[in-house]
Amino acid sequence: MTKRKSKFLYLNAMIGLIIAVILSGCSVSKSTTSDSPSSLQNQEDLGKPQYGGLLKISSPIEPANLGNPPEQVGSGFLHMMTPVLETLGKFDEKGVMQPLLAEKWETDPQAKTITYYLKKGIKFHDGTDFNAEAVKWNLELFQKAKRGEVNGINSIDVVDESTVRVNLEKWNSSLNNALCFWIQMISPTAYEKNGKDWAAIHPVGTGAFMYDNWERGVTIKYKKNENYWQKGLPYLDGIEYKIISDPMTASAAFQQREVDASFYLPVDRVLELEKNDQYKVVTLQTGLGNRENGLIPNSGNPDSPWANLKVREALAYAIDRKTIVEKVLKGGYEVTDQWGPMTGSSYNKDVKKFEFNPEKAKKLLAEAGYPNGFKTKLISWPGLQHESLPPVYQSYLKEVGIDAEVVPVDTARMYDLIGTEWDGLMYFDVITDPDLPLYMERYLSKNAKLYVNIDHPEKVEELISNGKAATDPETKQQTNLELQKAAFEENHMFFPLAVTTMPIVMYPNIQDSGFNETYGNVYSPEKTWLSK
Amino acid sequence: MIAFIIRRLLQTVIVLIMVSLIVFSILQVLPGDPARTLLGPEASPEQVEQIREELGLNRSLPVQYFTWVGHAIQGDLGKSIAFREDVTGIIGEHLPKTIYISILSMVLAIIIGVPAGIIAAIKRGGKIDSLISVVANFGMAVPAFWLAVLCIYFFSLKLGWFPVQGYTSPFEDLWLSTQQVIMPVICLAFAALASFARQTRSAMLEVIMQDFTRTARSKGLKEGTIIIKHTLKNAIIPVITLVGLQVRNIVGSTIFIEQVFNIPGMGRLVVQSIFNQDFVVVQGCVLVIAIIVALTNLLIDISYGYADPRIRIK
Repeated sequence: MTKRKSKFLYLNAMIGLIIAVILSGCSVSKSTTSDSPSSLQNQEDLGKPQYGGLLKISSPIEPANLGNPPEQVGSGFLHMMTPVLETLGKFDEKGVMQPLLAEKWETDPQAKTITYYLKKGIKFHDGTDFNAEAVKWNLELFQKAKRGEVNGINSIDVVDESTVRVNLEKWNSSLNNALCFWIQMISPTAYEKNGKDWAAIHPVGTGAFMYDNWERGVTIKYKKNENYWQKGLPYLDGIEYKIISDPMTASAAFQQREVDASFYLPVDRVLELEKNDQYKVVTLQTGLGNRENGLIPNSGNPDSPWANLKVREALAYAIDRKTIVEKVLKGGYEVTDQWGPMTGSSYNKDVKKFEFNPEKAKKLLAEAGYPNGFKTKLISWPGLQHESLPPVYQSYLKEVGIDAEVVPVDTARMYDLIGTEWDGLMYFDVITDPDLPLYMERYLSKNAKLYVNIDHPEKVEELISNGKAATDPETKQQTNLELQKAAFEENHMFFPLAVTTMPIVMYPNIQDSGFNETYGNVYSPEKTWLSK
Repeated sequence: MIAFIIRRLLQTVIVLIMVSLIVFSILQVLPGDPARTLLGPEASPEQVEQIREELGLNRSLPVQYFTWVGHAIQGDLGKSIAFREDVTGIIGEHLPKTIYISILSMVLAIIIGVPAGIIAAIKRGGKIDSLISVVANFGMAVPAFWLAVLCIYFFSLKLGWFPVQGYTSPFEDLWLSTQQVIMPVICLAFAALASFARQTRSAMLEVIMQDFTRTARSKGLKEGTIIIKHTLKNAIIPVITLVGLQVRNIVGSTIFIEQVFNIPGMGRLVVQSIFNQDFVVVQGCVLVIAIIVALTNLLIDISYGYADPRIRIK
C-alpha cells in the first residue's frame, strides 16, 4: 500500500469513527438513562412494598465529612448520612421524639438524669456491638468536640450492657431531643482503628444501608445492609447520591430521569417542574428543621441606633414581608414574624402583628430621636441563595429614612462576625425548631456562641432557663409561647422574614420515603421503596 | 535540537515558578480563613487555631510557599483543607477525565477544522466557502457554556438522544461513556474547530498564490496531489502554532463545560475548591494545568522542526 493510500484510509477511518460515535449516541432513548423499575419484584401489587431498585437523588452540594458527626457543620447533609448512621430517637410527624436505636428512655428531672434503654442485638456495619459502651463513647466524642448538643452533661454511666445513664448538671427539658436527634452513632472500633480522617469519609453506623463508595464531586453510593436490625428492611438495593452543582443540569437530569429525586433545586426550577403532573413536589410543613431568614441588628452595642427598642420596632413596620416573599422569593418560602413557621406548634397567634406601615416606622424613628433616619450597614452573605434580598431590604429602609450600605462578606468572614460583633444589620439564617429553649439558647441567649452582638433581655434569658427546667410538656409549651412574645413583640430581637419549605422534587413512584414528613432533611431510607 | 529542547525546558521551569508564585500570592490575598469556613461559626478560636496548626496555615507566607514548592517537586502537592486527602491523589482522580475529553475535542477539531479550511480555500468565494466561514465565525463567537446549555436543551431534553450529565470511564462502560462525552466534546471542540478552519483557509490561500503551486499545476500534477503534498505541507506551520493555543483554550473551557455536564474533571475540581476555599487544591490544579500547557507548547515547538526543516537548521 502506498503512503498516500494509507493516509487516505486513516483519514477516512477517523471521520467514520466520529460519525459512528455521533450516530451511536443518536440512538440513545430516554429509558436507557434511567433506572427502569422493571427490575422490581412483584410489580402486580402496587400497594405492597416491593423489594429492589436503586434510588438516585441529586444534590448540588456534598459534605466534607460523612462519618464523623461531631465535626459535621449544620443540618444540610443529614439526608446523606441518614441511610448509614442512626440515632437513639427520631421525630414523628407531630414532632414527638420516638425511640429508634433506644428501646425507651426515662427522664427524671429531680434526679437530673436521662436513662436510655437500648435495643439489643444491634451491630454496627463492621460487626461491633451497639451497646451502652458505644453510646457513651459517641456522647464523649461530641463532648471532646465541645458540641452544644452535649452541654450540661455532668457524666455518663454505663449501667449495664444495654442501659446508659446521662447525669446532668441541672435539668434540661431540651437535652433528650438534642441527644436523640443529633448524636449519630458511629462504630467506636472503626474510628479508633482508622482515625478521624478515615472515619470522616467512611461512615460506619447501624443504618439500613452501608457505605459503598464516594467519588468526590460525583457520587456517594450506599448498598443494602443485608443484616439490618429491622427485619425485612430495607426494600431498596441501594441509594446513590449524585452531586450536580449546576441547577440547570440538575433540573434537566431530573427531567431525563437520571435521578429520581432532587434536593436543593432553586425555587424557580421547582416552580417550573411543579407545573408538570409527572412530578411531585413535597414541602416541609411540620415546622421541624426549617431554615428561617431575616435581619439581625447589633442591638448589644449601646452606641448603635439599633440598641434603641423603638428603632427595632420601626424595622418591623418598615419592611413588607408578604410582598418580598411573593415577588422576590417567589415560592418555596412562607412568611413568618416569629421563631419558626406560622404553622409551627410553638407559634404564638396572640403576639402583636407588625404589618407593613412605613408611616408608623417613620414616627417611631422620630420618637427614638432619628427624625431624619440614620446611616447603617447591611451585611450580606453572597453564598446565600437569595442574593437579591439585600437591595430590596435597602430600598424599604430608604423609604423610612434609613440609609443602609450593603456590605457583602465571604463565608469565613460571616462566621467571624457571627461569633464576634458586626456593625448595623446582618443577614440572619438559622434552623428554627419549635423547641425554643434549645434553639434560641443556641442563637440568641447570653450563653450562645453565635450572634453575640445582640441585646439579651433578662426576660428572654429567664424564659429560656424556665423552658429548659420545665418538667412537663405543658409548662414547656407555655414557655415557648411566652418566649415568642418576649422576643418578637417586646424586644424585637431580630426581624423574621420567611422560612424555607425546603421543596424536594421527586417522581411519584418513590413510596414511603418520608421526605419532608418529619424533620427537614431527614427521611426514612429503610422504608423507602419504588413502585412501578 | 537537544540544546533547543534544554533551553525551552529551562524557560518552562521559569514559567512554572512564576505561575506558582502568582497563584500562591493571589490565593493568600483572597478574603476568608479556610479553617473558619471548615469548622463553622460555632467553633471556638482554639479549635480554629488547632486546624490552622494542623494545616500549616499559621506559618509565615514564605515558609508556606517554600514548603509547598519543596513538597511539590517531590510529587506531594499537600493535603486538601476541605477533604483532608492528598491533593496529588485528588488530582490523579480528576485529571484523566479532563485529558480524555480534551484530547477527543482536539482530535475532532483538527479532523473537521483543517479539511473544512482546505475546502474553503479551494472553493474560495463559492457557496461552500461562505457556509464554512459563517459556521466558523459562529463557532468563534459562541461561548462554550451557552452552546452546552443549548445542547442539553435540544439533544437531551427535547430529543432524548444523549444523557444530560455524568461521566463514565471508557474502560468501565464504553457505550455509556461514549454517550456521555459526545455533547461536551462537541461543545469544547466547536471554537477550536472554527479557528482551525479559518487559519487553514487563510494559510492555504496564501500558499495557493505562490509560484511553486502554479509550477506544480503547469507540470500537470493532479489537484489532490498539489493540495495535500505541496500546498498543505507549506500551510501547516501556522496551524501547528494554533494547536498549541487551542490546547490552552480547550483546557480553560473545561471549567465551564465540566460544570454544565457535571464531569468530575480538573475544571470542576478547581471551581469546587474555590468555593470551599481549599486553596491547596486550587494551587495544585493550577500548577498541573500550567505544566500540561507548557509541555504541550514545548512539543509544538519541537514539531515545527519536523514540519519545516528550515526551522531546525536555524
